[in-house]
Amino acid sequence: MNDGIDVKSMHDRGRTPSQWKYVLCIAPMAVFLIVTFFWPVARFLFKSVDNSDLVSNLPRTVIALADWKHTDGIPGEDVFAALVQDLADAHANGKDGIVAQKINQRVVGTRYLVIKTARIAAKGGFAKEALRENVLKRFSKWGNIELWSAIANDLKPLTEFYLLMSVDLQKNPDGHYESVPEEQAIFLQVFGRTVWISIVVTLICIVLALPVAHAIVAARPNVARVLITLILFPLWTSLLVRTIIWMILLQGNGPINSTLQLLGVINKPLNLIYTRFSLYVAMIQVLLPMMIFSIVAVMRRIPVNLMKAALSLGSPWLWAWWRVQLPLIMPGIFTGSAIVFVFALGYYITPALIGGPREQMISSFIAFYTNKTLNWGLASSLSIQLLFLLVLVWLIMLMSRFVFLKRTEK
Amino acid sequence: MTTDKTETSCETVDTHVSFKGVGKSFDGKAWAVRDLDLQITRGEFLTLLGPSGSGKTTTLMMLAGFETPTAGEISIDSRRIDRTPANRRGIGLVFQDYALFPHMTVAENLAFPLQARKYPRAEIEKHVKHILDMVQLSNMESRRPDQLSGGQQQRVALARALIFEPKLVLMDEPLGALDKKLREQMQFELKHTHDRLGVTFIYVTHDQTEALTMSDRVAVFNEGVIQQVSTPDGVYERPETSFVANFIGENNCITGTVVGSERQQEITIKLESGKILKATPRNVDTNPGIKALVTVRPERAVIDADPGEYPNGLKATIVEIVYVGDHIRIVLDSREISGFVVKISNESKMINVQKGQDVRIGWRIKDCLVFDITEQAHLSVNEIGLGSN
Repeated sequence: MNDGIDVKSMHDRGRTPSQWKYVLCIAPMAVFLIVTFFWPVARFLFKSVDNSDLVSNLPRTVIALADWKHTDGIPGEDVFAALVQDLADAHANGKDGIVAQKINQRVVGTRYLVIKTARIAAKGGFAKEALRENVLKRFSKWGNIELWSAIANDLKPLTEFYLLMSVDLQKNPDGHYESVPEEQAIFLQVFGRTVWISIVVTLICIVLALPVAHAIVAARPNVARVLITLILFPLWTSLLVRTIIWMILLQGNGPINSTLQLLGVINKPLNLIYTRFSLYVAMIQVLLPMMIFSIVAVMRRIPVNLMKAALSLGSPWLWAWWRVQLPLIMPGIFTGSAIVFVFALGYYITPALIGGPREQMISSFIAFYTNKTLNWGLASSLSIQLLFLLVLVWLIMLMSRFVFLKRTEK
Repeated sequence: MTTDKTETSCETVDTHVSFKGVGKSFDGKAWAVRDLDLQITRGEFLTLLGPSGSGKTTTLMMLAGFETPTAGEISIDSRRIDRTPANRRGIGLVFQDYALFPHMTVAENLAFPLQARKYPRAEIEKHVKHILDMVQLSNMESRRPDQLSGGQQQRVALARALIFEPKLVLMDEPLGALDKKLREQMQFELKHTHDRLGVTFIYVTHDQTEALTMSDRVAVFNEGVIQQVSTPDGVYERPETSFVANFIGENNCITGTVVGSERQQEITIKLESGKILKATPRNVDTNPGIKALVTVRPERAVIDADPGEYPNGLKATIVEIVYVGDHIRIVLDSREISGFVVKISNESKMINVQKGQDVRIGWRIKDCLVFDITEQAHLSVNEIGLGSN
């Protein structure tokens, strides 16, 4: 009669606990990831548009500058009064340092101007009447219209300043976006270089990995195990150690140069380290195993007889490889390339240690702005661009893979 | 080595493939194939038959060019080819797992050997269409291999090996992966294709039924050595070694000692029980005292036979009667041998024999073959001989 209900409840009874088990199984991992990864990353990325340090510490100035335009000239008495009051409060709250830093990020060389102005303002060192004149007399730099428009342009809770800067753009006093002066434009070039280095590394890895993968797959099981261990060995060594070994090997009076000189091949040391060459060598050494393993994993599943069949049908080896082997290896090459490319994009220690100034990749700049100048807004903006780049590459990969598989599947 | 006399007497044989003293060793110690001498006639269907590890596939792969002989010469049309790369031998090869290219359609698979030979596009299309008609897969050309049944894949593999019109086609257990019914149908199709094209087929299998039903000649391999090369009835009726006698079909085996020979093609054997048998010697000396193996086919032994027509006889007790369908299997025990098998027709009047009944098993002298037992020592007769049908 009411079998349906019984069956359903039995079904639910059988099912619910396992769902809870499933949730419980991933809960610790999920919480850990959210707390230690996603949340901090989101917080950090928010820094790219966060302007609260400036806005919340200059509340009066924000209001006073609301209608000001750079064509109005140096702001009037009310603005100066608001600024002095705000800086005095900031100093009292210990926030003058951060305000000075933010303003300095926009107009370099204004850090001490802000800090000194704040200190004097806190002490009441500026006369109440003719305040503007008073301040300008003590600190003539406040008479710089560029400084004012830089501040006024950016007195919003969310700013595009850092994001623009990360792609070599700026907002001119009229509120239009424009390229930064040529001598300041660096990031687009660094992004381009980062992508280029990553592409080259990925391509070289593919070329080097294919024969090695062939050898591993063709070798007897014992030999294959030894080969795989040899390839794994560098992976078990820390990145830093491997990079430093390359520094030792490649340096001017290192083993390679000494040997070459001893053999009389060269008569003065080659410039090996701090070059693009040394960077490629070190990066490829680290990333090659990932490509090899991705390809081996796929190649192992390809029947050996396919290649034999192709040869027995009269095809030259290379053509057989191109038509039969390569299309079947492609998924492995795609996976390996995705891994190698993404790792290469984020390289930081290796370019810093053995690349020259023209080999620095974007991660080095992110580290520099995070650790050295504490310009987290810019560091975060650069990270966002890198993330954007990754998603772009991922989409291209996905699409090319899709197109490729479609073509082979038909 | 031990080629059937009736075969080699033919003088004007058009030899297509020739193995001369070919040997192959993978580890430098044991021979996978040893002293192989084999002449394959143009247009014949030759099967290499043997248990796994007997060297038949190695032989095929040496001919195909995927193994290099350690010793000897292989020639096609009197031209030595054992150093020619596989892709320049022009041999069609069908693999056990078909080795169809999974990322290509049926048509692309078939076009592959022609593209490798740089045929014009129109020519390729014509050939593909023609061969698809031949293997009855005309509407399957845009399918990929994994969308085909086993039998269809097998046909594509065969078509791909035939499309460039090779004069020699090699097949490595091509029907091994098919079920029994389909296998029998494909055997027929293969044989038919062979008759029609007139090219030389060399076929590797461990299935003796397949070998006997399809081949013009069968080469029986064991432990890297050809035991016998002969027609299907030659290897069945006139085995030259005890291995062949046991590997092809079923045989009852009794050990005994040679007493002597009174006549040509007749030998007297004394069994351990003292029983005397008259038999036909195969590869055995007629010197008295030699240990020998006496074999009788189950279908050639007769129960309650007339001693005049069937002079050899043993007294035995029926221990089992098994109805198999097209025949009846009777298992008997005697003093000389336990588990002697007799096959009788299911219409025979012997059909009303009873379990436990004492009877006389008899057989003719010509159906009783004797082999040297010394070469037999390392072979388990029952394991290989029985149950292979």
